[in-house]
Amino acid sequence: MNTWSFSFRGLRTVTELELKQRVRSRRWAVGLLVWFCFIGLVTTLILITAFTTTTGANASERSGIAATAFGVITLFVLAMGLIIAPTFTATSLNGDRHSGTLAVLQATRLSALEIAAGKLVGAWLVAGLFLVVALPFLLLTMTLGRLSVWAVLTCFLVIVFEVAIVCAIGLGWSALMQRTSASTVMTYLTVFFLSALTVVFTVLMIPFAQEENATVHTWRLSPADEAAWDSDLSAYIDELYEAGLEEVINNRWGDYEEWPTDAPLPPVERCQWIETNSRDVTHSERFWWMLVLNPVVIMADIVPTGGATTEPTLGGYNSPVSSSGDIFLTLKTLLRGITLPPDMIVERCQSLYNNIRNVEIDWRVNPPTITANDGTELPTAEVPAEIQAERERSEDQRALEDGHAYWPWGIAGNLLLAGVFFTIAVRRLRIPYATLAPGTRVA
Amino acid sequence: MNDTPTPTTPDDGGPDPTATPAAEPTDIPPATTSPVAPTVKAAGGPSPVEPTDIPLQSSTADPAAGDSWPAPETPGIAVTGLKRAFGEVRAVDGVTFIAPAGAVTALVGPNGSGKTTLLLMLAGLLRPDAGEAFIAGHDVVSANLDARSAVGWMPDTFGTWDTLTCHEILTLFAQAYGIAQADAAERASVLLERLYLDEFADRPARVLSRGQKQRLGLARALVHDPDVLLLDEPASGLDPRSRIELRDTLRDLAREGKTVLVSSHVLSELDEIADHAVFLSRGRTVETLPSDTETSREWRLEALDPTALRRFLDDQGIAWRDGSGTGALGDVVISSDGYDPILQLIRAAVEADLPLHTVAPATGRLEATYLSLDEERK
Repeated sequence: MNTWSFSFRGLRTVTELELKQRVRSRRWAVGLLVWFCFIGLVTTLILITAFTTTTGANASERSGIAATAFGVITLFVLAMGLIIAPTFTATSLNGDRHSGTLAVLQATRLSALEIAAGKLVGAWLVAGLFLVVALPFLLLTMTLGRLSVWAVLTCFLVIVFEVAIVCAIGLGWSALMQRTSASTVMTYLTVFFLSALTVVFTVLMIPFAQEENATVHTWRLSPADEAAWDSDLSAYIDELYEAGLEEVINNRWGDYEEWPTDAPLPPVERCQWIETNSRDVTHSERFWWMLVLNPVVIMADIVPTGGATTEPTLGGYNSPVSSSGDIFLTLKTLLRGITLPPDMIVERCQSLYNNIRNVEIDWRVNPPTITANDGTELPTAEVPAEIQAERERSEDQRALEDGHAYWPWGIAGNLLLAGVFFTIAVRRLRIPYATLAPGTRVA
Repeated sequence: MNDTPTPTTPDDGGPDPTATPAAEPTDIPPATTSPVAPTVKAAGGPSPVEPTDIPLQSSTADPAAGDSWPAPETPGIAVTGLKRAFGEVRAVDGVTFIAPAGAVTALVGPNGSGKTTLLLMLAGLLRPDAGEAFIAGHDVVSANLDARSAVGWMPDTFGTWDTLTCHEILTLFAQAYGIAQADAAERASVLLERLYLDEFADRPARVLSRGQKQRLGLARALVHDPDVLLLDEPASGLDPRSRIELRDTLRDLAREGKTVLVSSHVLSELDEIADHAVFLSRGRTVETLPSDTETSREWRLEALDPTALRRFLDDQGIAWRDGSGTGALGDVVISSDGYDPILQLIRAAVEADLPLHTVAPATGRLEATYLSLDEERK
């Protein structure tokens, strides 16, 4: 019993048989041509759409558009790869059994491992040729978008890898299922599960990962201080009214153009940590792993971010990531953000100054310096390290730097999955058969 | 189950109208181990072989024999008490026989009698539930790879590799048996020539006719020069000429010392090529039979004067009935146990000056045995 014995000669024999059988049929050549034209057409349409809807864009905007086009085309090629991959192996073993070519192969000196591996490699090489045909279009957008070769190469390798995974899954199903239609459906369902249902399940997990009334630390004025400042402000406004200076209130303060210089300033030097239990948060870090098997996630997560600008922005409202046009970077930022626990620190102190225009604040030093227009230094207080750290990086940057990487887990998980299916295929090819599935014939 | 033994029309076209007792060319190769085969069930009646006689078997065909390989006595195939069930269905339910090297052994049985299942076990693809099987001395389970290497199996369905040429198929299969590429290509060419397929060497296998495909299947089974050949219904769907060629090829292979096991339910063709026969019914061996066993069967007689023939038979006290000839008086059919009564009858006919011109077996030996078994089964 040589189920698991292996020789390269045996592997090569089966691979050669598989390749000669597939590559020489005219159907195959036609398929390759149709595939080339289809990818070419879609790429052209995407590029035309991208550039005609953004006429008058400057050079850097154009490269951003090309980067978007690259992302879309790459995802398209990945999707098409996942769609065609099952056709190469999903009927590999049960189809051969039906046509009576499997048993005679098993009866030779070839081991079950050699037969399964040869079929997998053969199918993978054929699928790889399809991907190579799609490569020129990826390179075209790479040139237009001034993307790094590494980014394109990584994308391509991920596609080739994912196609191999799907091929192995298809092989396993073709060994498990008696009917070729059943194994094809099961393989497509598995691909659907990996690429779509993982996302759906993750979204469905959200209600189960809620924490109500979580403890939040807020850097803010104490309620007493806030009330005191409020009453000071009210008193100041009342004064203005009494002096008949409504215009000042409406024109200057009302639209926050200019804070009256003599208005009471928020006592930021009295800010302190206040603990509250009022927030409902979603612990997305508890279920991010559900996404690791998703091919698109792996692709987005692994692509080198290159020169993504992640300058610190106060408050994080302005995201350089989402404006870069890089779909993968956007996805990656989103994904890595999911892996971080919810932010339990809230800063409500400096924001008091956001609307005050007649003071200048230098956040680069700690404690920050607050200077009024007339040059007087206003009282200030040291900002806690936690808050200072947040200010130094944008939210996107924090997500990218602190968030867990998906791709090592994704690749390992996919390899494990493919390994399980491949092992099933080998075990199902093991002879002499002790048991046969109902209705199965050996030959 | 076709329990109704429809008496196949007694005259089988008479391909050989000779009255020679041994229609079979008695070309049993000198190396034939005919003493081995008869010991299986030579004296045995047609009663089904029960596992009770396994001890008798194991003395001649057990691992001991495997050790002495390649001693000439080692049978190509030795099977004892082999069983295999698929769920409730006991496809093979106690098969015991020996197929000697250098001879063609026929595996005879109705549809569903377990022939294909038995061959799958011998090809090393199916694990027996019980019993043992040795291929050229290798146990099909414990020495599966050695057994597979020694056996060439031709299944009843010829799978097609649509786009591969005949030469490529044979080369790749030779490589699958571990033969180096150059030798494999050489071997493929030799086999194609031997089986008259050389003109199709570079044509895709799908363009072959049925007979050519069968020959290609045989070439594929021979690609690693196995000691043992298992052929499952090799002649089904073949035209007469192809059958004759197949018969000659198999006889040649046996003469080379190979063990050839041929399954079929077309008895007339097996009759012509088999030295021995193993009868299967409902998964059991019910009879094993060397070719020269005299069996009770029917003979067809014809004379220039039909009336005189009938009168002669009446005088001799031999029971007869009209043959299936044209409505007028034609041939008659008698039954005889073995050859001696027939020889006496011919002698008597010559003495009586009867214009007897045809004395031929109405049914093949295998067919006669097969039908007798079938009747007994009822």
